Amino acid sequence: MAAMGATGARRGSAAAPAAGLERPAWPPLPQRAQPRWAPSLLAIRAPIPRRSRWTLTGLSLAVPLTAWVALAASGAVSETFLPSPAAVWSAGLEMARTGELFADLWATVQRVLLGFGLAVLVSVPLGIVMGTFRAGQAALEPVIGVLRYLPASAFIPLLIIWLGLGEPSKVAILFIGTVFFNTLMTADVVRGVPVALIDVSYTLGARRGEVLRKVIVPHALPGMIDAIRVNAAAAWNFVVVAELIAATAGLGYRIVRAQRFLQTDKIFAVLVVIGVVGLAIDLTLRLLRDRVGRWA
Amino acid sequence: MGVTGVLELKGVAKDFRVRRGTLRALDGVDLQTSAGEFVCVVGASGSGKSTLLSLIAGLMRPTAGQITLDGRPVTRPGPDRGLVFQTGSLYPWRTVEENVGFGLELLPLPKPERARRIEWYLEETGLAALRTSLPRQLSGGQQQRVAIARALACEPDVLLLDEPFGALDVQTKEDMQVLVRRVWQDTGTTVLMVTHDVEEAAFLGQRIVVLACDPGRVATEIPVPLPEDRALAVKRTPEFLALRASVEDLVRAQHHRHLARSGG
Repeated sequence: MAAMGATGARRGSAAAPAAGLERPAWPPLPQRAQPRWAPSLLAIRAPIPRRSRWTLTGLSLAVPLTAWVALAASGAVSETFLPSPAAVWSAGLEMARTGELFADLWATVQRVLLGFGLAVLVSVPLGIVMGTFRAGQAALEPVIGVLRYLPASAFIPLLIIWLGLGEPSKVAILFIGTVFFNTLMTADVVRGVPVALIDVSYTLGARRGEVLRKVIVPHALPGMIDAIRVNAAAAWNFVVVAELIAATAGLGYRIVRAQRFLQTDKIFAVLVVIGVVGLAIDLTLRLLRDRVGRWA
Repeated sequence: MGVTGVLELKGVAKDFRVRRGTLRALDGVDLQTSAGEFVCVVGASGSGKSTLLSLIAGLMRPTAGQITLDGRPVTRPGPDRGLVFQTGSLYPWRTVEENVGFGLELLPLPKPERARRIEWYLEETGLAALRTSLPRQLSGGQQQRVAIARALACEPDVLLLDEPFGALDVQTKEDMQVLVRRVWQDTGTTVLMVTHDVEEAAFLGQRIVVLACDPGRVATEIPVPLPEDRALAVKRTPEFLALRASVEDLVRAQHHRHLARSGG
């Protein structure tokens, strides 16, 4: 009984204090004044009125936009460096009219679907294996833990040497940039499935494969979609980086081209499109997650 | 009742590895149930109550000794030993009826037959109106009823209850006690329940097994001399109060020994 010996020294504390231990006549506890400034909008985690919420959301969009308009109209900054919102809008319209905007957008989206899609196809099963089997964790975690810290952009020269300047190297960068993170995040989610739920499933007659299929995967599904959502944003970043190097189409390519001709209005327009598409992807995945995770 | 549900433990011991050496949680536990019996195991903390149930469920292997159910050695978990935990073991994405049907889905059972059985257990546990609810929409007592119905649907030879009402308020707890006794009488399953609540053990069990602490082992067994048809009012009879007092003294004595040893 090794543990007994270790705790035996504290034996004296086991006895309850004798009844009637008298409390000293110490002075009353000091009082603290009520804080003078405690706005209800800043109460921690407390709900705020609907109107305040919409006002704040509106302001967060309106303030930067107004500042942009004001700064551009004041003439303090040259139109070449900071185009007015109107100029950006018309540049965007012009790109849409010629069709190059949609061609670029489609080229970029295609790369994301391919590169990130492959990453999801590989990382989800890998993450499930890592999170479910200790053997999987022991075998995969060290390797993936190291690979994750290698920046994907540092692979660009190597990938160009290996795969050339075409599509494969761009898809590969996206893949490398997202696959390891998504694996580790999936593994974490899977490891969060309560042991009691797994134990009870065995006592209901489930076998290992059934526990995996009918308990672990359904329980982890909403969390796995969350991981994909976070990493989709990363994929969207990497694709633009990849296109800055050598591409003949794509939103990143369009930015580089516009830079050559000092078309800052075009750059801004592309940035707006990237932001809007990113937001749309995020909202779609969030909607999917909420549907799948209605039970949580 | 049937001839199944004879659980036999012989010299069961369980060691856990701790930082320095091992800690013996259970030592030389001998325990037997007869078919269809309701046995309550009571013990203070440190008596290895939950470890005992995990061993019987087959979720862990004993360090020494043997566990058999109807003569078959227990080596792994299986649907012949249903298990109900204190809280939180329902499948949160499954409705009440889907939870109850989990074990049946794994069997080659025609759908109407499965539905018929689920229906019976829902009725028996008073869950019929909640069949399409999700676990998070249920109260604590309702969740435990689902857990019990789910375990029973597999027609276990032994139902293992691990402090199943420990997290419930007193009124709900008493409702559940009445329900468990009725379900036990309706199904004829052997029930082995672990609890620290002596009153609960005395009300539910035909026999109370008191565990000693450090390491856990059987201190004594006490038959419950109460009629088989028990209403909650039995808890106010002199026989019940006397039984409860004597068992409480035994458990308290073990508790004090545990405190004196562990300094807690």
